[in-house]
Amino acid sequence: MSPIRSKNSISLAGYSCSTAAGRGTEAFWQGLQQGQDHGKLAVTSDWKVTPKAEVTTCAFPLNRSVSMKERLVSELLHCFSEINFQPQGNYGVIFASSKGCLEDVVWSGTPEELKSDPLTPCLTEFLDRAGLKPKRSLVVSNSCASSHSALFLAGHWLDKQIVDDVLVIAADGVGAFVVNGFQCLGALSTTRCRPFAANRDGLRLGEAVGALWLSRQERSLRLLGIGLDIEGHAVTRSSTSGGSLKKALAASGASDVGPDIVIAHGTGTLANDVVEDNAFASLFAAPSPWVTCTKWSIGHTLGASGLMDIIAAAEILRTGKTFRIASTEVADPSFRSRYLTMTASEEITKVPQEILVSSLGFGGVHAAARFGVAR
Amino acid sequence: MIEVRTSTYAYTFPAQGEPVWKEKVDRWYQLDAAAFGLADAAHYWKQSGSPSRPDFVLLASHGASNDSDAKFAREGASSPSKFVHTLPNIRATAFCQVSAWSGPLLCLQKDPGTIVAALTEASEFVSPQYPTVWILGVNSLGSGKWEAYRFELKLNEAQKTPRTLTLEPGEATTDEALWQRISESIGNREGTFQLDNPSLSL
Repeated sequence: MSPIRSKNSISLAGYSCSTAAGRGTEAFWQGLQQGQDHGKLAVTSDWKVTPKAEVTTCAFPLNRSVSMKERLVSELLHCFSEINFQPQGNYGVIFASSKGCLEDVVWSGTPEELKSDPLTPCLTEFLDRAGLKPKRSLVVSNSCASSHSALFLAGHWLDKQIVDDVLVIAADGVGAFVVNGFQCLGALSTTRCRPFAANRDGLRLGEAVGALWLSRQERSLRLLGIGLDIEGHAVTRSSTSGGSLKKALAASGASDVGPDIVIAHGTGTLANDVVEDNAFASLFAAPSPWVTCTKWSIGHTLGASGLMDIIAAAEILRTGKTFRIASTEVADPSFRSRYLTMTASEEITKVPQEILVSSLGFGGVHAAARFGVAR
Repeated sequence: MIEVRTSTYAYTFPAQGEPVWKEKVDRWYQLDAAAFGLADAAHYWKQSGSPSRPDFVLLASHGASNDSDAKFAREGASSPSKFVHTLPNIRATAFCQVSAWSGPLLCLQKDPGTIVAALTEASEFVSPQYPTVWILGVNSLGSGKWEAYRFELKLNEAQKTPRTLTLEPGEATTDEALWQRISESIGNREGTFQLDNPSLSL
């Protein structure tokens, strides 16, 4: 268990993202508000290995002929330009990703090309083109919980006053490698991603990049706590009990009272949603906080997915509005937590003041981060 | 003062036989070289009387999971048992199972200085909150020979460690140079030393 509950406040000073909804936070946020599903049939004709069946993904609406590195870095630069990053002193940059630009080299890469990790080149290229010279820069690759893990490290840097500001960037793309991989695992939905529904049948892959500026400067949006726990239950699956996630939730400072809203990882796979429900139900007193998620709209954006959920949390706190799980009519009746499905009758009358964002990843990674508004 | 103890463990992969820890890891025979090595090393270190357990783990491996990624791609990208090892943090799972360990872990990458960066981070995580921090990783030595390594960092105010590794910023910016400096300072790749200047940040 690993609480980072800052003695000094850590603020969210700026954020932006690019998703299948388009460039900018507003496109993402409006999609969530309006229940938009950004999935489209993937064009796979130029892929090195064609998937065994047609697949729908939530990909960037841009020219796909450029390399993965160029796709990710150009979108990162766009996000960076939107957040008006103005550090007050020493700053650090952390890149969160699961696969980075691997797609560019893995199919025909020479041993020399495959000698170095496929993540650092994206970070280096971004720093060069953004003109940034951070005191410290690093890649965190904790599978689909990479964003939360990067946030954990950022919190540590800020708490220890190693730097005054941290720019967390996250990016993951979709190509033949990940699509074929998830397809052979049988994890992809053949219909639509329906998190927490009884008839859920898997996830939908998406691509996203995001930038989040964390600062020791006082701002209204705050990181209240972050927890991280890794268990060795199995290579991919978390233990069904949700014990490790519960540890991460508790380490973030979440208590039985609960936050106002939970943004769950919500992949829509049979196993993952059970883990989250068990963890929420065992930690929060009934009735649980309302739980929502974003992957039904922009897909599962792998290592970037946590940052997208954090941006959604920041938008809830900024606007006072929430969003439903638009692809899910009714929650699985076996679940014990309360889900903001399309038919959930209760309206949320209280303006949310505290949001909890959970994240899971292959390798038994579980993480949670709490955000709130300065009072 | 931060005391660092380095340990290495040589192994071959594919495995020559069933590991003694096979009961602890479901389908151990599907592990990739990195996961197998860390699990085997965890067992070896435990058996050889290594008393400490980490409070925090940093994974730091040159080349991330490229080896397993390329294997999955080369074989037609259709094997689920190969795909599950195509993330660099996955190798920790079997280590956790063999060690019966759970806790906070970050998988870091910064080639060609991934271990250098991890050493910087580890030296700053060592604290009363995290008294013992481990850096774990594997190196391919070629021809099926591999090496798992561990850096164990602890606060040690009481006892002066005889050997000191002083690294000026910029002196060891690659993992290769770091190993070279360690070998020069302590005579080989395994031993204990005081880390004099942990701010090696690249």
